[in-house]
Parts: sequence; structure tokens; C-alpha cells
Amino acid sequence: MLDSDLDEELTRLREGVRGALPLPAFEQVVARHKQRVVRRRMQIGAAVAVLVVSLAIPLLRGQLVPDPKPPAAPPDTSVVPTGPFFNDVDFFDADHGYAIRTTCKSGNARKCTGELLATSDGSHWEQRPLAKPESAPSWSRGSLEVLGPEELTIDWGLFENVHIHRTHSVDGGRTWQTVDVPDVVTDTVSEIPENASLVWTCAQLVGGGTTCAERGFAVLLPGSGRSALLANQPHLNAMVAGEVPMLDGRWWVAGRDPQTNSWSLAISADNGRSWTTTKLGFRGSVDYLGWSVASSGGTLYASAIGPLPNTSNGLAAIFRSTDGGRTWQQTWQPADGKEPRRVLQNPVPGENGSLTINTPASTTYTSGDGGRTFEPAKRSYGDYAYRTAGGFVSVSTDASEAVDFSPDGIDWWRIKIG
Amino acid sequence: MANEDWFAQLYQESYRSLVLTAYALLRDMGEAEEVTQEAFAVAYGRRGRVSRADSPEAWVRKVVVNLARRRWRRRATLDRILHRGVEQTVPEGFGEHLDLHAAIRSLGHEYQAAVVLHYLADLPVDEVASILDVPVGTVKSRLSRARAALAAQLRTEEEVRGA
Repeated sequence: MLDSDLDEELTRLREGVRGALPLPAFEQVVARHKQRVVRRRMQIGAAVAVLVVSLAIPLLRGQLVPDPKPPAAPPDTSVVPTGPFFNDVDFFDADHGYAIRTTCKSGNARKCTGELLATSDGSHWEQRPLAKPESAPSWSRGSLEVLGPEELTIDWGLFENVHIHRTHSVDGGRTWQTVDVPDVVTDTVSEIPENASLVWTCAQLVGGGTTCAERGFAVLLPGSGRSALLANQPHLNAMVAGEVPMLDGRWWVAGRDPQTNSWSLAISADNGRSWTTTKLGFRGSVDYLGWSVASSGGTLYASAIGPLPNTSNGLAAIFRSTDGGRTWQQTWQPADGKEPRRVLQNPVPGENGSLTINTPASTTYTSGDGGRTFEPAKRSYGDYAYRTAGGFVSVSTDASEAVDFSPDGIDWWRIKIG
Repeated sequence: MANEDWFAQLYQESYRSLVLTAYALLRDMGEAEEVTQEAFAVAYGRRGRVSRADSPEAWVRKVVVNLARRRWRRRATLDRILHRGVEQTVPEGFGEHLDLHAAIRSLGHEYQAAVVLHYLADLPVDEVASILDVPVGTVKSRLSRARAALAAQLRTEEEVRGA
């Protein structure tokens, strides 16, 4: 193809795309602006109310003299949050944990800096160097994987590009080595070693480029920080895998059945040497579901999060298995008016058979009947929770100083970071 | 009212280019439209300041870029926690140019972003460099390599069709 032909093609594409883009009426901009003003006034009103109450209570009790300092400024409503906020928090056990915390100067997303914090006793945190490879994009964020008390990797990615910039440390983040990660991993291992994680990888590239056509998972190996494929992988498409084993030591992978395209789950009780794969008979309305499988007292719970009417993160389904993943029964189906609906996480099972799920509306729900029904819980934990090697971590979206931690999904405590 | 006339004109003239700017960063046309509309709502609230800017369009573009990055960061966090992969969607308007669109999507993201910003959003190289936070020379190099890759891919497809 000639250069001029390519220019013509690009020009036609530009005109085609621009012509197809709808231009909403200008009045919608004005209406949206008015909605923003109302929201902002409500935020300021709430901040003032909190301030008034916090000043009034001690005054009424006669215990404190009012502080002569001016009142706190209203919440920052600039377009980019300055933070600090947690990018990632990961625990190897209740004592050994790592966190990446980010701060953006002057509300400018390009001027964000991260810090790595580490603890070896679960309470005292110290700052360690956060070594970003020179090859990593300037504002890429780090994603932690903890492989041991003192071993961790950080993947620096951008826009889900297949190329991963990885650094690896075996001394708790004091020193770092760069690890070469091929765009398509070809090394294999026969089983998942102790303390390894399963991480996202690209199984197939589009036409030899660097966009991923088929997602898969790889084993992140302790000792080297390198990635390898399992010699005996489940035969599924679009696979996603749990990063760490369930509390009972089993591993899980979700994916599409190559023949029927229905969602399937594969469970391994022997560190990935063999898999029990079962079709769920659940097609879902979209290809794009977030899956999680967790164990509790011999029962497995699988849950899917995906688009529902009016939300892109809805609790789409819960399945239950009492025979190690050979058969599954769907216990939860979404319906109008049924809560929880909008969620940012999969349910967390407790050893007492309960299921707990947080919602971004600051309500925590629990189920005592295997996920058929949920009731609001007495206490809420953060916006979303996820499983790490050391236990469950629950984080609030804008939190910067503490997370909630639970080794078993039942007992939670707050851990101050930094 | 005259104040609103110039703003409405700015909106009509730059909306589509700004949507494509957001699309280069987010790779999701729905989210790109949402971010651009929000950016214009922000700009409307500060239209006095926007009118005094050297380039009102550049002012709104900066808001679009900041909002897109913020949204991408949230999405990346959720994607990781929810074990979600990348959703590949084909926006409207690419229908007659699917080969070229597929070829653009097969480029590395750094190259994709440069191509979309320069050739589709029609931004000059220095503006692309500012948005991607890289030197101008890097953008030129990426565009040059991207053009070579696109031409090679489209040539291969023509040969396959002709065979």
C-alpha cells in the first residue's frame, strides 16, 4: 500500500467516525452543569454539617474551647483527586503486607507519585523504594503480587497493553531487579509451586501485533518472578484465574466452553496438575463478567459481576457447589428491587457458612442461606474486598490511611498503613 | 447570551475531536462520550475562565484528558479485582473501515494512541506529545512505525483477498 493510499484511508476513517458520532444538544451540557452545581452544594453542605456537629458536641458537653483556627475547607472537587489513595494492598500473611499509595500534585494526573509501604509485624509500616523501570510509561500504575514474606513483584502496565514491565524483589522491596516478561509466555511448569500466584497473561496476539486476542493466565514463579504456563491448563476460552488458592488450598479458573460458549468453572485440588471442569449452563447476556470462586467449610461459592440495567457492576449470579465443583446450583439471580445490586466485589464466604458483600453505597450485606437472600449487616467494611494470600482485604475507594483485614472472612480488624 | 453563543460554538466545533481524544486514552467510545460531556459541563461552569484562555479548546481538552485518566485508573483497579479482561468493541463509524480499524487495534497501545490522536482527532504532533507526556520526537517515531505497520497489514489483507 502506498503512503498516499494510507493517508486517504485514514482521512476517510476520520470522516466516517466523526460523521457517525452523535452530537448531544447543547442544552444537555447546561443541564449537566446544573446537576454538578447541585451535587457540589450538597457535598459542601454535608461537610459543613459534619463540621458543625463536630464542633457543637464538645461545646455542649462543656469539655472543649472552640478551636480558633478557620473551619476546614470544603471537600476538594477538582477534576482530578489529589489523593493520596491506595493503588494496591497485598498481604502474604497477617504480619507481612505491602501497599502502593499514590499522590497527585495539584490535581494533575501526570504528576502522580507512588510510594511503597511495607510491614513485617502487621502494624508498623515503613517506606521502601518503588523502582519503576525506565521503560514503563511515565504514569503507569503498579500492581503488586506478594510471593513470600519478603518477596514481591510489581507489574507496571498501561491500558491493558500486553507488554508487562515487571520488577522483582526478594528482600522486602529494599532492592529490585527487572524481569523480562515475553508478550506471549511459552515456558511451562507441571504444577503451581508453593506461594506462586496466577496472573493475567495474553494467550494469543492479534495478527502478530501487541493487542491481545485471547486472554489467559500464567503462573508467577517465586524465586525468579518469571511467568510460566501450566503444562495442563483447562481447555477453556477467555480464561480468568484466582490469583491465590482458596482457603482450602484449591485453585479455580473460569472461562468459556469452546463448543457451547457457556461459562464454565475448572477446579484443581492438586496444584494445577489436573482440573475438574463443569459447564454452568449460564450464558449471561455479555462476554464481560468478573468471576470469583471461594471456599467455606467444604462448600464452594462462585459469583459473577457484570452489567445489569442501570449499572455496569451488578451482582449477576451466585453458584454453590457441595461436591468439590463437579456440580453447581445457581442460588442468586438479580431482579428489580433486589439488593445487593450494584457491587464492586464478589461475595466473601466465612467459615461459618455466611456470605458477605460490600457495596459502594456503604452498605454491607450478609447471606445465611448460601446466597439466596441477603440482609444488611450491622457493620460495613469499605467499598470492595478481595482475597490475598494472607486473607481478605477491604478497601474504601478514597482511603489512604487504613484498610480492613480478615484472615477468614469473619473476623475483621482495621490496619493503619503508614 | 452572547457569552453562551461562543461556548455553544466551541462545543459544536470541538466536541467530536475531543471524544476521539478521550477514545485514544480509554479505547471505549461510550466512556469517551461520557467523559467529554462531563468535561464540557465543567467548562461551562467556568466559562469566564475558559473564554480568557489562549485556546478554549485546549482548556477543555486538558479537562478531558484528566477525566479520562482518572476514569481509566478506576477501571484498571476494578478490572484487576474483578478478574475482568479487555472488552473489544467496534464503535459506530468504523463499519466501512473495519480492516483499518482492526489494524490500528493490533498496534501497541502507545502506537494506537498516537495514531488516533494525530490522524483521527486531528491533533498536531506537539499536542499529541503533550497529551501522552512524551517528547515530540517519540511521537514522530511512533507515528512513523505505526504507519509502516498499518501499511504492511493492509497490504497483506489485500494480497489474501486477491489470492
